[in-house]
Amino acid sequence: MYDVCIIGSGAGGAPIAYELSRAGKRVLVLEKGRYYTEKDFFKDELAVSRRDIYTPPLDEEQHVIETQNSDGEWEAVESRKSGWNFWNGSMVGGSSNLMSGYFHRMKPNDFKLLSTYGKIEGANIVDWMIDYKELEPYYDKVEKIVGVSGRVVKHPFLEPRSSAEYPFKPTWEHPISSWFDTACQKLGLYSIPTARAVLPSDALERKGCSYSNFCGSYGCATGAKGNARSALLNKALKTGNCTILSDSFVYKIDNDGKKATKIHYYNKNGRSLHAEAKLFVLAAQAVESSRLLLNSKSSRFKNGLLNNYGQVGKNLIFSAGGSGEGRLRFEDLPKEKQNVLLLRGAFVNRSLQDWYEFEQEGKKIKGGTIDFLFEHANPTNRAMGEVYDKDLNLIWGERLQQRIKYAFIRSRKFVFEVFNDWLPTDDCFVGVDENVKDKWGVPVAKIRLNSHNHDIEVGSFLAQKAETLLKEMGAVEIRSNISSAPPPNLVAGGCRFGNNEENSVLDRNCKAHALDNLYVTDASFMPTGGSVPYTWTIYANSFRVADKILKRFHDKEL
Amino acid sequence: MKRRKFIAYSAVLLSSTVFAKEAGSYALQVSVLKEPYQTISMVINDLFPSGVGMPNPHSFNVIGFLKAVMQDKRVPAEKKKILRNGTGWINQKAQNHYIKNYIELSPDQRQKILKTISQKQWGDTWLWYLMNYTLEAMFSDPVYGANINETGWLWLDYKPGLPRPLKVNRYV
Ligand SMILES: Cc1cc2nc3c(=O)[nH]c(=O)nc-3n(C[C@H](O)[C@H](O)[C@H](O)COP(=O)(O)OP(=O)(O)OC[C@H]3O[C@@H](n4cnc5c(N)ncnc54)[C@H](O)[C@@H]3O)c2cc1C
Ligand code: SF4
Repeated sequence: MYDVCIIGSGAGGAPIAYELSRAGKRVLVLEKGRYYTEKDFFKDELAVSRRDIYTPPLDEEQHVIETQNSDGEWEAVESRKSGWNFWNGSMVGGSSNLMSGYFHRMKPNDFKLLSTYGKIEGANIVDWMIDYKELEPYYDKVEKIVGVSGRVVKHPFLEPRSSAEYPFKPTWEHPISSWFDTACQKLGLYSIPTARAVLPSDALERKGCSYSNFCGSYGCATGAKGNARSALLNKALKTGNCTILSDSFVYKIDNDGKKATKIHYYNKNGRSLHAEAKLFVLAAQAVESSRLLLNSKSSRFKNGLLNNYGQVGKNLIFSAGGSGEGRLRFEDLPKEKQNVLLLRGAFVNRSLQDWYEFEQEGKKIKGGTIDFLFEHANPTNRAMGEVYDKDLNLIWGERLQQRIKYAFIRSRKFVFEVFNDWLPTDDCFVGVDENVKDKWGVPVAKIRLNSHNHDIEVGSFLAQKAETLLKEMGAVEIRSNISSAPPPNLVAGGCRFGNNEENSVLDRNCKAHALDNLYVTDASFMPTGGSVPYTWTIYANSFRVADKILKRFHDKEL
Repeated sequence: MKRRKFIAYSAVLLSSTVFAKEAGSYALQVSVLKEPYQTISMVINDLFPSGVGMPNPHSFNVIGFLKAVMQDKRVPAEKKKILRNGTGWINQKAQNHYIKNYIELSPDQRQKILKTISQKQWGDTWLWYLMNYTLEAMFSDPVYGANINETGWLWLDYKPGLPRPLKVNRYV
């Protein structure tokens, strides 16, 4: 019998494995994906970005996606047919292996959205069970243990910090960052150096960044990226107390009415095995965590584990917003700037938060973050970006070839990503489809998607601001795309924390209301997501929960 | 749209096809073209004509690559179906307009057909896929048997990221 069994080895699960194994507890981590390490990662666009090798083939494991058609009816389509992939990274360390590592903390007001900005019709907004102050020491801990690099500058929305500076200096910055700073100065904006979960040089028993130019979506061959495996699981293994089983898909959690007792999983050969532990931690990423609970029916939980009040899977959220771009052209730049524009590898590391909160018609509105970066280096995508003219007609022949050449050799796209709140609503949730099974015969998750109009209004407002900045920098062909399409990689909710079982799944420590020894530590607990990507918050909260669990072991409650 | 039944063509040797000495086992060497690759090969020539910059797609083994795509478990069946069916559809269009198959048309007629089908949803999708996989062939690491001698990368002064995959690291 293990002390702790963790399901899912990504950003939500790994801090628990790290802390508990270092405290001498026997930890088992079950991960459905493969065990890749630094030596398995290559900059292979075909494999990584075009054939999605880090996610399961949709013919074997898929989702059912429900969207509303123009008549207001809900239509369900299997992702095997649509190709709409909601998997992110099935591997030891989870999708944190593939992240770009843009790290932002949530702001104090993000923890109390309802009481600060008020109710919004049609949205299930609530305040968090904890405040920023409670999480701050853990954000700080992540900076030091996972490794966050950056530079603190004062700006109106800077979060209170217990450490004056980041423990690691910023990564190598592209000269364009200073062009960005100049444009911000002219427009009276605060240019914020974006913190990164990337080590600029060797530290924390890991190698520094090699500036490979292929970061987001790619595994890191040096270990510089602060993914859950390199930063945490490797150290958990060193204690000798942690066992990681890859290729192990957990499909059911048993309970005796008071406690979770056992988990069942299929190994690589399709054999069903089980594991027992004193305490269980679920961290399979928001959609799959809810799916596993819903598939774990028993006499006490007929509608799925922890789901007697129909709360599991509800209030699924994503990062709202979208992206935009502009093109910087050689002919608009002086010679010395032309030469540096095409410099590869260095990071832009800049964002704007001037409108994290803004006023409209005398009312305080929650805004968001805009991150700036270069277009992804993947060449096929970049070239395919040229195949339509501005009226959306396909072009080919000499014209297309000239455009591709121009795009690669005489210009570069500067892009931005907008992050704002995806308000939780009744029509955005995870269920299971009993009629659609994966390769093991287990019902797949059915995801109903809906976004609140408010999200698009705020996102569009932010995108316009970002476009102004691009214009100031001299970019042309500026455009943005803010839509209700969710980014599958930035997902949270489904097992909210809250006061009681009637309106939430977890308590303030992310322990199930209904069972004494089951915790959920991925982003499922989040009732709202803040206007930033989630991973720093997921890590921080998981470290916080690890402390609560350790205390229970210490107090002999378990 | 019904898929047109068309006559099997006699094997044609594509003179423009240049092959690597040692192509990988993803995209294999192709010397003899049968349908649907005859039509596809002609359409790709028309979409990416040589002599105006980009290396000739056949010089980076585009047909070998497309054949590999059709066998690739990671490429959804739906996409393969569209790729395959598109040749039937374009030949049907060519027959309707000129009572000939696409490869029998003059360059001008072929351009007219391309223009016409690009305005249809199926045509736009099919041509988009052909462009997509041609560019994949051009940009993929040479370990996959296309982008021979890195000609695609050289054309655009493109530098691949490091580390690059070896043959043993290929996903297939
Ligand atoms: C391309 C990309 C770029 C990103 N960029 C950023 C960024 O710049 N900044 C940022 O903050 N975030 C970013 N993210 C998001 C970030 O990766 C996630 O927020 C984070 O990893 C989520 O942590 P998690 O623990 O919930 O899930 P994961 O890290 O995905 O871990 C979940 C693990 O559980 C496993 N699992 C699922 N079901 C089961 C089961 N039944 N049994 C066993 N194991 C199971 C999965 O295989 C997976 O390994 C990015 C993600 C991607 C994919
Ligand atoms: S080496 Fe640097 S740029 Fe490359 S993947 Fe790792 S963190 Fe990203």
